[in-house]
Amino acid sequence: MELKIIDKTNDELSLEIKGEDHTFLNMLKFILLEDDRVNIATYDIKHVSISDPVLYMKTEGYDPIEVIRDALSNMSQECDEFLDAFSKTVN
Amino acid sequence: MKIEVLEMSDRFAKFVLSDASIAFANGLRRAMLAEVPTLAITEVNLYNNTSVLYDEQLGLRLSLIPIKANTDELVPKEECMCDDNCPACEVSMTLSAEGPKMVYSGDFVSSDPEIFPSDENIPIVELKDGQQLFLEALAHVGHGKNHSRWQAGIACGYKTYPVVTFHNCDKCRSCIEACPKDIIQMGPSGAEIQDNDMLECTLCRSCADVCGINAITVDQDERAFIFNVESDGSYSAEELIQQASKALKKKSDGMLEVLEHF
Repeated sequence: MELKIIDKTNDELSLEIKGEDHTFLNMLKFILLEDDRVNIATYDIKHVSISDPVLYMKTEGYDPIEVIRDALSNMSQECDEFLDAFSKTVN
Repeated sequence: MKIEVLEMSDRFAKFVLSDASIAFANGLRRAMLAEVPTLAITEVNLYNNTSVLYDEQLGLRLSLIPIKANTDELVPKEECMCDDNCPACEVSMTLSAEGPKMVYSGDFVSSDPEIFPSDENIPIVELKDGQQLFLEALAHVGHGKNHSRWQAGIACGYKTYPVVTFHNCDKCRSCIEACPKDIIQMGPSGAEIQDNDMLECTLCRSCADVCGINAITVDQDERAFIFNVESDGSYSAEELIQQASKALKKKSDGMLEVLEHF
């Protein structure tokens, strides 16, 4: 995955995520918004077929990268939880 | 997260996913359609084609044949270390036929016995007397988001879990007649829906609309989802679901790894 920081301050971040779409961004946005440290989390895909999504987020003074890292671990954990629950019920 | 499997066959699965966010449910659905790596024919070397189909038409038909393969052992061509092609990113299949006969997907001879079309009875072209077809098809790994030939999930969807409640029912039976799914029954304390039948509810609200005393509330549980999953045969339904959640995990792990260097 290729990332490009468009803009970054102490509590704000604009991040372009190459090659991804709603599948990943919507999940990430949802998890970010569940975090109390996050004020704004949203993303925009300017053109459906030629643009890469840009994630914009604003925190309550916390490092946005740190907050995204936590969100991503949560997402991985969610996937593991699903796989676990699914394998258990199928077998 | 809780999962209850209602139906599970080779190519179809129905399950209830509860205690999950709507974003996860939608991510999983989209991943099943577009993010699961599958194998499909992308290149065809035609040595002889005297059938009635143009080469290009034939190529499209071949590309849409679902192929069963263990994609964990294969890599997409653009990620492969090789210069052009190698056994790690490419699978060769040959097809040779002479008319009169109907050519089916099962006529392919694969270079790898583990990799073959998931259905043997997909018609490709009908050859008349003397017509010949001789070709080598090259299959590569790809994702459904790039072309439908790689789309392993055919009809994958979910709906939120319906919650229909009855309060102080006057037993007028009008909701029973109004329900298009015929799932409302008359119980001892008034109209009711059995737990199993609740899955059939389409949240059409016909029952609530005809109720004269507003005794029915139609709602949905937004943390529970009824999934319908259908595979094209390149994976079993069970594998498809597992592959989809693995694909999502790969994305988050991948981004986490990149962020380590920031």
